[in-house]
Amino acid sequence: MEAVDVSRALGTGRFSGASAAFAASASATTLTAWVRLAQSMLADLTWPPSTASTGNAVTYVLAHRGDHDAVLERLSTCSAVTTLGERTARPKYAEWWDMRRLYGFSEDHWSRQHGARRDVRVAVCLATDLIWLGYSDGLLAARNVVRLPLELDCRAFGATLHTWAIEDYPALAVALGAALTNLGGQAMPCIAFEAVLTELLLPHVVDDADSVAKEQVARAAKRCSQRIIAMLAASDDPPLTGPQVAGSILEVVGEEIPSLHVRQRIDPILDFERAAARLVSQALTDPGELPQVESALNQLARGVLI
Amino acid sequence: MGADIDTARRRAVLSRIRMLRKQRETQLARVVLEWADSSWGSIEPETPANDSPAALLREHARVERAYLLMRQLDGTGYGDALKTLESVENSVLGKLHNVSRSSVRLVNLKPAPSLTGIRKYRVLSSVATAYSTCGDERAADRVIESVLGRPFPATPEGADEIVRRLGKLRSADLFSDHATRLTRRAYVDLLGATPDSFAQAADLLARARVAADISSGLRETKAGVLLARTVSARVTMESVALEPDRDRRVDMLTSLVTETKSILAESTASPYIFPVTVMLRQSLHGEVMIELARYLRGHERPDTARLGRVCVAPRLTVNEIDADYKPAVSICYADACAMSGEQERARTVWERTRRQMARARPNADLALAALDRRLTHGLPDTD
Repeated sequence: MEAVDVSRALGTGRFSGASAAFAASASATTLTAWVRLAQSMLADLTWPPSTASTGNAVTYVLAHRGDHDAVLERLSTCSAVTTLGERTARPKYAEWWDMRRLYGFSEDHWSRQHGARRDVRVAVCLATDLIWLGYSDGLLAARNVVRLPLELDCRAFGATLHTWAIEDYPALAVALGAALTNLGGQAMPCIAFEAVLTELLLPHVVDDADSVAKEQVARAAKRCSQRIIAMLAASDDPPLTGPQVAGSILEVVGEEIPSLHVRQRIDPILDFERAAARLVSQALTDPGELPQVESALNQLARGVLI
Repeated sequence: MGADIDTARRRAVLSRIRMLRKQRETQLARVVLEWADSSWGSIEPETPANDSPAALLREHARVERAYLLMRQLDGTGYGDALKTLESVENSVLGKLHNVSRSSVRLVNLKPAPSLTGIRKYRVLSSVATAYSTCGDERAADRVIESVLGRPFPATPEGADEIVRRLGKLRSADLFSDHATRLTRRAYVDLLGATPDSFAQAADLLARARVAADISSGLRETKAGVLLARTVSARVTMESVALEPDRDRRVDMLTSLVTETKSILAESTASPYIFPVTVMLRQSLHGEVMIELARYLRGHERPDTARLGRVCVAPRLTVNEIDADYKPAVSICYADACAMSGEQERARTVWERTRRQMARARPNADLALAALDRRLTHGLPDTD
C-alpha cells in the first residue's frame, strides 16, 4: 500500500484532494479505501461525522466479537452507502455517540468546540483499528497453536506490531500516534491494541477467576498500548523496533503487575540464555571463579542439549 | 477487504514464525508453519497480483521457509534452501527460471517482477542475508548489486545516493549487513593463510571498514549505535591478523577487549536488547579474548583463552541444538581449548566442525584445508 502522510494532515488540519480521496473510498473495497476515508476526514474538519464513520464503529465492535462474516457484510454496506451525496446527510448522532463512548469520551467532552477535530481523530483510530484487525486475529490464532512463555508472547506481539507499523502501514501508525497523543494533553485509548494485549497477557495469570489479577492485566494492557502509541508518535520515521515494543511491554507489565503470577512454563533456551549470561558475567568480573563457572556452564549445556 | 484482512492475518502468523526462528525456536516455528499450511493450503497466497501486499507476503514466507530448511540438523536442507532463495530472487527480479533460450525466442516468457520499489528492496535485502547465512556470499553480493544497479560503493561518497533512495535506517542496515558479510569472507581468506588469500582478505576488510563506518554514521538510537560498534569491532578483530608487528597486534586486541566488554555491559543494561543478542555479544567478546590469547605468552595465554572460551561456550551450545550453523565460532572455541591445554576436546570439536562443513559447506576449500592442518599439525604458530 502506498504510504500516506496522514500525520501532516492531523497537524495542519488541511489536506488537499479530499473529495477525490473520499470518492475513491466510496467505491473501493480494499483497505486502501479505509485509509483514504481517514485521509478525507482529516482533510475536511468541518465535515460532520457520516454514516460511514458510524458504520466503521459498528464494524469494529462486530469484529471484536469475532463475527467476521458480519464484519465483511457491514463493510460492503458501508462502501455502498458512502457516497458523496451523503456527505451532507444529517449524521446519526445516536450511533456516533456510541462510537465516541467506545473511545472513552463523556458527553461534556464532545459538546466542546473542538468536536470536529476530535471526530477526525476518532475516524483515524477506527481506520487503523480496522486494519489492525487482521493482524490481531492472526497473532491470537497462531498463539493458540503454540503456547509460549509470557516473554515470547510479548516478543511475538512486538514482531507483529513492527510488521504492521513499520513495514505495511507506517503512515497510519504515525497518524494513530498523533491522533492518540495530541489531544490537548488528553490521551485517547487504543482499544484494539489493548484488547490484543489483554488476550495475550491473561493466560499467563495463574487463576483465571481472579478478578483483581484481571483488572491488573487490563490496566497493564492500557498502559502498554499508550506507551507503544507514544513511541509511534515520536517522529515521522518511527524508531520503533520489535525488541523495543516487547521491551516496553515487559517493563510495564513488571511495573504494573508486580504480583502477576506468570505460569512456570520456562522455556529451556531462554532459561539457558539467562543463566549462562549470569555465569559469564560472574567469570568476567572475577576470573578466579572460572573453574566453577565452567563446570556450571557445562551442566547447563547438558541440560539443554538432552 | 476480505482478502486484505486475510493477508494481514497471514502476515501476523508469519511474524510469529519469524520471531520463533530468530529466537532459535526452530521446532516451534515449524509447528506454526505446518498449522498455517494446513489451515490455508499454504501460508503463501496463491497467484497474488504483482506488487501487492499478498505478493510481498508470499516472498517473505518463502524466505522464511528457506531459513527453516537450512536449519535441518543433518545439514541436508542447504541445497533446497538455496533453490528456494533462487526462486524468490528470480520472481522478484522477473528473471527467467528453468526456461530454455529457444522457448524464450518463440514466446516472450519473461515474467514481470513480482515486486517493485521499496518492497523489492526489502525482500531482496532479506534474500541476500539468507544467502549469506547459507554460506553463498557471492549470491548475496549479486542480489545486493541488482538492488543497487551497480557494485556496492567502496567509498563514503558513493553512499549518499543510497541513503537518499532508501532512507537512513534501511541504508544503515544495508551497510552493516554488507560489512558483516565482507568480514565473514575475509575470515575464510585469513584461514587460508597464503599470500594471495591475505591480499584478498586485506581488500575485503578495507571495504568492510568503509561500510561499517558509513553505517555507524547513520545510526541514531542507542541500540543502533551499539550494533554499529559491534560490527566495527568484528572488522577490527579480523584486521589484526594483517598487522605485521606482534606487539601492535597485542595493543590492538587489548583495546578491543575493553571495547567489546563495554558493548556487552551496555547491551546487558538495555531493556530493549534481548538475551539472545547479549549472548552473541558475549561470544564476540570471547572471540576477541581468544584472538588476544594467540599472541600472549606464559600463563596469560591459557588463562585468557579459557576466559574467552567460557564466553563463547553458550553460543556454541545453542548453535548445536537449533541455530544457524556458524563454523567460525566452533573453530574459535576449539582453538581456545587447544591453547588452554585441552587438546582432546579441541580435536573433537575440529573433527566435528570438519564433518559439518564437508556436509553443509562443500565448497569452503580454504576453511576445510585450515581444519585439516589443525588436525594434522595442531594450532598454527603465531610467532
